[in-house]
Amino acid sequence: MFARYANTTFGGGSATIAVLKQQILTRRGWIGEAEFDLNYALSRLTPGTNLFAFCTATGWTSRRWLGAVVALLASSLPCSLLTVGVTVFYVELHGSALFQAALRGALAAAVAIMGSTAWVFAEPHVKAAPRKAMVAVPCTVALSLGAHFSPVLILLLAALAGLLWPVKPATGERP
Amino acid sequence: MTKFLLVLWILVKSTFTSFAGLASLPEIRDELVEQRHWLTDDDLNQAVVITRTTPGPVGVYVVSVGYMADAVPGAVAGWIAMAAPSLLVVLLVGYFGKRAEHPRVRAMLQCVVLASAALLVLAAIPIGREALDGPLTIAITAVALPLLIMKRVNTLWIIGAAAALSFVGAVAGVAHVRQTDRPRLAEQHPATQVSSTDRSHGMGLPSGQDLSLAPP
Repeated sequence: MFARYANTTFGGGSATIAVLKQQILTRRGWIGEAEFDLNYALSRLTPGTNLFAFCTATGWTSRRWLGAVVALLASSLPCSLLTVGVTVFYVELHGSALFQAALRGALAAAVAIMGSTAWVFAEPHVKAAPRKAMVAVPCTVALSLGAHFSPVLILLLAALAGLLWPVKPATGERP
Repeated sequence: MTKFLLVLWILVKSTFTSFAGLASLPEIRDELVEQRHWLTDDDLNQAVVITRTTPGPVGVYVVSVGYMADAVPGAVAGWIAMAAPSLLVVLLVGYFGKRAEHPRVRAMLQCVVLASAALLVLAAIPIGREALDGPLTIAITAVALPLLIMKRVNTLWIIGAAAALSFVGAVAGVAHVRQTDRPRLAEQHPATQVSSTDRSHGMGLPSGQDLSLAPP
């Protein structure tokens, strides 16, 4: 699963995570929605490449260390080998107009994938916590475009805001 | 062996101190281009273009950089440097996993996921500016977006169909075909500036970068 989807999706790590969510959560039920959110949020706060951190976290959640190592190897090795191959043959590929045309088509699809990915990730939380969404999304845009804060700083501020603005426990639930 | 260890150390140091795809680029450039002269800006530029040419995360550019610096051993060093930081997430999941039901931790996750979604949309903007250069590519995005959201169509089909359409369009003369002479990211947008642009868009995709897709 990790080898198949983490190495074949254009549009960056988050787009790939959205595809993996569809496969491992919606279709196969390997992890629950809460575990997915935990793994995704923490992978964004881990150094390095977020996608590999997500795959490692999901592997660890399912099968502890064996799952983590297998998921990390499966998600990172094939695309690394492909990258080395493309590096070797880069000049020939880069000079091909038809290759470039196909690539532009794939990138146009990647734009759509990133847009839909944002919605897939945000939708449950927009429904569950609309007030948080109304605050978190505009603040993120303002901090990123206006103040040029780094993504990790914005995510740390979001985490801090969440800690200070807890979810209301459901009736009968222990806080 | 010494060069392998040096490349490994430089790349590991860079990836362990960065939190997004291309965020390690300035440090890698400083070490490999400015200080040791093992690579040129054009090489770095090429490595970034390659990761956009291949599926997977943009962070894989580290493997390409390693290969350019020290052939196959360098690529191995790049892979180790790219993959190793991911293991740190196990510590975080181990700690927060036990507290996942706590209202404050749940709220923290909600806020981080919402902020991530907003950052993702911001990251799509520069890619859109580069990729949506004609009616065909705009149509591809316009059709793919509702299909993905409402029908949850597998992205592999969407990407394959989009690439095939664009390819056929280019062959038939419908799509705009252009040849670029060589990548120019490092010349027009020095790698040292990438971190600042990277910050503004959230996903390690500098705004306005020339990834061989911009008009010549």
